Amino acid sequence: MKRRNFIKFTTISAILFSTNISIAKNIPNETLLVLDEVLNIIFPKTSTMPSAKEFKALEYLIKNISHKTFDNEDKTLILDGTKDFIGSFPQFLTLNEKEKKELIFESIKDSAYAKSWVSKITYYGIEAMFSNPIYGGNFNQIAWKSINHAVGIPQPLKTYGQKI
Amino acid sequence: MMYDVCVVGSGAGAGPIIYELSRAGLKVCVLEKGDIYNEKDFSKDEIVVRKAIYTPDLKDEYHTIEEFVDGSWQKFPTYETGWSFWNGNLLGGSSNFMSGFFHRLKPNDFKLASTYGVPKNSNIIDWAISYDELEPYYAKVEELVGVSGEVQEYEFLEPRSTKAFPYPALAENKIVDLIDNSCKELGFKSIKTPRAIISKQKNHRNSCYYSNYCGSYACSSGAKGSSRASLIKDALLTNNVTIIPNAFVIKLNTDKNKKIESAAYLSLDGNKKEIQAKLFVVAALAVETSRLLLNSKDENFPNGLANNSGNVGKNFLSSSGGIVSATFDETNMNLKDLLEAGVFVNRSLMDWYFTKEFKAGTIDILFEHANPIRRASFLRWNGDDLIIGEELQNKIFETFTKTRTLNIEIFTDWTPNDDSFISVDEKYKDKYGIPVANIRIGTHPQDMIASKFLEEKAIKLFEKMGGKNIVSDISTLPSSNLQAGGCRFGNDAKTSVLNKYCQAHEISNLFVTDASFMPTGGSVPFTFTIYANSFRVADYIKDNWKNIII
Repeated sequence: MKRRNFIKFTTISAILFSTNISIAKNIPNETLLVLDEVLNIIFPKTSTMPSAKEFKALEYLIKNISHKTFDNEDKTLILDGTKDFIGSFPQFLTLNEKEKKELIFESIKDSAYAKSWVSKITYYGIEAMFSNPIYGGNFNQIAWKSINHAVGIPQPLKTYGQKI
Repeated sequence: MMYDVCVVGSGAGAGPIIYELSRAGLKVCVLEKGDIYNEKDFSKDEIVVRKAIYTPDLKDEYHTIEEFVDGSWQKFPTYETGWSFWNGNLLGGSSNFMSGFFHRLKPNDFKLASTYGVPKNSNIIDWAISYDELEPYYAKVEELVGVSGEVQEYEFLEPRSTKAFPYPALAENKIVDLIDNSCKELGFKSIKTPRAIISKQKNHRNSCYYSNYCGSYACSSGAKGSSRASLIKDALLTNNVTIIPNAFVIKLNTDKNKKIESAAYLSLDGNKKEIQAKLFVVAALAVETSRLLLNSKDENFPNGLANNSGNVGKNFLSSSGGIVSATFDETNMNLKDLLEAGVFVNRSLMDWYFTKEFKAGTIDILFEHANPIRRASFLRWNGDDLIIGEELQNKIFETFTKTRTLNIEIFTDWTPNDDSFISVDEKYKDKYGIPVANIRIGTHPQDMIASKFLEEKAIKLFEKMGGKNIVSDISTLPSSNLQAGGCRFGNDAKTSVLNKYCQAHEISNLFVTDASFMPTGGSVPFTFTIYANSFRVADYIKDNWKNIII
């Protein structure tokens, strides 16, 4: 294993260790690595917006994908789509950043399935970006701050509408 | 225990009944399908409104929607599409989440058939009551539930017994100057939208604090006039109200005298229980109300409760229309003013509520909801093309920091017709084994004509305002949060389910007080009229209690 990937595996393990979600722990590490890469291609750091890594998109996904309100078909599309993508492009993680980006951009042009898969990841990336940080994304309200978003008041103290 | 009154549901149709009858000293039991929440439990959580938190999981409890496809009517379970017709299972029901656009119906709404005639293939009839009979109750709702606004003269302003709304109009974004000036230039008349949101404190309810996330969200200050905040809380002070939460009523049972003797419900753990009462009031939201009656079959009513005439479920109503949206930026007005959060737009146009030729409807203007998830999720698409990477990030930044979208919501009448109804089908059952409601959503051609007519006006206004990216989505598909009909009221027991007091023709101790009674819905959201009518029925029950329960 290349050192860079080893470091990334360590990061993923840290996220998994911090969550008690059993199903998330059953997601293969390679799937998580690919999802992490894809999220960062969809949401790169720009002069105005934070990257997926900065707003912790993968952490959000892992923390919430097994919740009972998470759409089952979406979950299947995200996880099976990633597995299928790995099956089609087993070398993906070894490519350089530019090659990875080109591959994702080409895939959504060429394949309706890939487009649907990336679209779904993009949607949940947006949830991670703009949801309350108690859900695990939008770290330190970084995305809200980037767009000067006026949040609704009061903000939630508990997730998923649990009673106080 | 034998209660005086058992109320099924706790939303806008139930609240006035609970409030008035408990204050009159009657013992009231409320069977609410959802849980009890209080102001402190509500927050402005971006995720919660996008998930089934206050509504059932559609895989467990769904409806079927019957659409005309390829030459025949076909049923589609809502779990396949996510098109939920549940609007809020909690104390106070969907009134917790309403935007609270409180327009009264106009006098001619009560006599549409007489005014315009009955179009071919429609079932339009006049109401069993006139505007004058409901007017005192509109005034009562404005006071008790709390309506803010400013009475302004315009051609179709309905007669009022009070000069002003009890609460001053809410604070507005400066874009209203652009709207008002553009309307003036076009010869349109913009009026302030009355809202069921109080602008000053009322007892335990605090005034609106401009939370920035209003519509679709339950209110944390009690300013929004939900049935829970504005009526049920006060009713509880009488000690005459018992609320049983998480009680899913599955059947109303009748006795040998053809009166209802009990309501059977499932508790959260699935156990079947019963409540006995002298009088039953059903207000479960129109679709579920018809479902309950149709599922309550017994030897007295083999086709469902109060359905020996075969009218239960017929003439389901929603609202036709749609949304026209446009984007505004610093070329239209000062950017800081445009982006000012929290304050409302609150503008409506009712110039075309009636035209000489046909009934058109209402235009309400409001900002796109401030929850950024929905707005941003649309930005990933450019037509059919998926946008990702730097282009998506830049689009999100530019859209949120430099523009704001204004929506024009168009409300037109849903013309009642034979292909718009609620039924049940033994083939489709929920997780408890109870047949679910089927909603056939056939529309009348007139609805699209009226909607397109108002769409033209909306586009003209946006063009005059200098709006960009004007996009129109006009449709005759029903709005799932606007449900009415199914248990029409009327004077003829052969053609209606309820009499003019919303008492079942066939069962003297059954009343229905949600929007099910409406023969036509008007071209405005229903909640104001549901509240007013429920107060009217409550008065009738109070005044005639002994005769009713004999």
